[in-house]
Amino acid sequence: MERNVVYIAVFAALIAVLGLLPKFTLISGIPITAQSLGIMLCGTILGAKRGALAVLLFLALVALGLPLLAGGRGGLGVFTTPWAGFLFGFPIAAFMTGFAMERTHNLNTGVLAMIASIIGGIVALYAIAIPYYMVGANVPFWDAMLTMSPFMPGDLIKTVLAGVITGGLYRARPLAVLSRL
Amino acid sequence: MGTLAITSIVLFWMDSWVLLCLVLVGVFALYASVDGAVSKGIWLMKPILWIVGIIWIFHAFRAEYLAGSIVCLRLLILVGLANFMTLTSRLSDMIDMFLWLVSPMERLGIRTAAIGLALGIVMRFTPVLIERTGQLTQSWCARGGKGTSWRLILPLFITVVDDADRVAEALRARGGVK
Repeated sequence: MERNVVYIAVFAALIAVLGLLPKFTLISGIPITAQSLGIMLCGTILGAKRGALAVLLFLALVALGLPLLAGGRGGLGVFTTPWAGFLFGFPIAAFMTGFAMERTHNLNTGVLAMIASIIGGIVALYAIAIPYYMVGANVPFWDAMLTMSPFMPGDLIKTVLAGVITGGLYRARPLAVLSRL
Repeated sequence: MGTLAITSIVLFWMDSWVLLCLVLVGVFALYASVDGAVSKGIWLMKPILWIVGIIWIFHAFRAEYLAGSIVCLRLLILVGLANFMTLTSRLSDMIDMFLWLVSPMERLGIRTAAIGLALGIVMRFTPVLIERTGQLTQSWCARGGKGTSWRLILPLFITVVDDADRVAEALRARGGVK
């Protein structure tokens, strides 16, 4: 019980810290902030329920006004923009990622974490963010897709990183990867 | 907060641009009534202005100038009001309100005491983790690496997970979470 509460809290802090890191610039100069990587890692490491709770805790702190979102923003205002679909989708993305992790047993942890991140962190997340943007900004589907397309290559790279990091953590601290217990 | 929710519902029904403009002026007046709120408010609005601009251009492409302007006005008002709430409330008040909001969940068998504890841990840990990342970056640079690399995330996670285990043990030793 204590361990669950502390892990959830600490991972909420990790999402915040990953968002505050300077942008990494990878090959071909795609700049990515690591915040959504943090969401994926919550799912792959903590599992469905704990992962979603960690994300909800993080969002609660953002709503309370702490400047924890990438770029140092926070407050209730960020939940009223048409992009807030990403924020509302974050806990569901972490849940789906964790769910995929927990339901599969016969795969290498790193590979599985990457696949789970694609399911949760990309498919589930955009399935919420795109319709939300369409309604909030009153634009048709393809316009919404076009606006969001610059983020997608970065997201794919992040799923690979999520796989590498989860696999590495599983090797270093197998007991810490709660989704694999 | 309640006002905010009601306003956002009303705003979605309101489709005259004159009315919306009036409301926007009202929001600006609210900001002007508090010292120093205007400049901070504008800083918070900057990224939203970009988004609003992009949305307007998309509408302009389809020659829906009026519809586009109404959507953009609505967004400016909503975001402005929500930021105003945040700017004028103290963090401790916001946390108290948050715990009050979740307190009915106690009856559903969810322990809300753990939520308060978790909020505290996050706030205590975030600066520690930022510092830890800084230390890792320095060691990485001392060995020839450049800047903050994604390679530092795994060592960061390992140290954090170890810390978490120690904190959990300490909590259990002191009576644990009820």
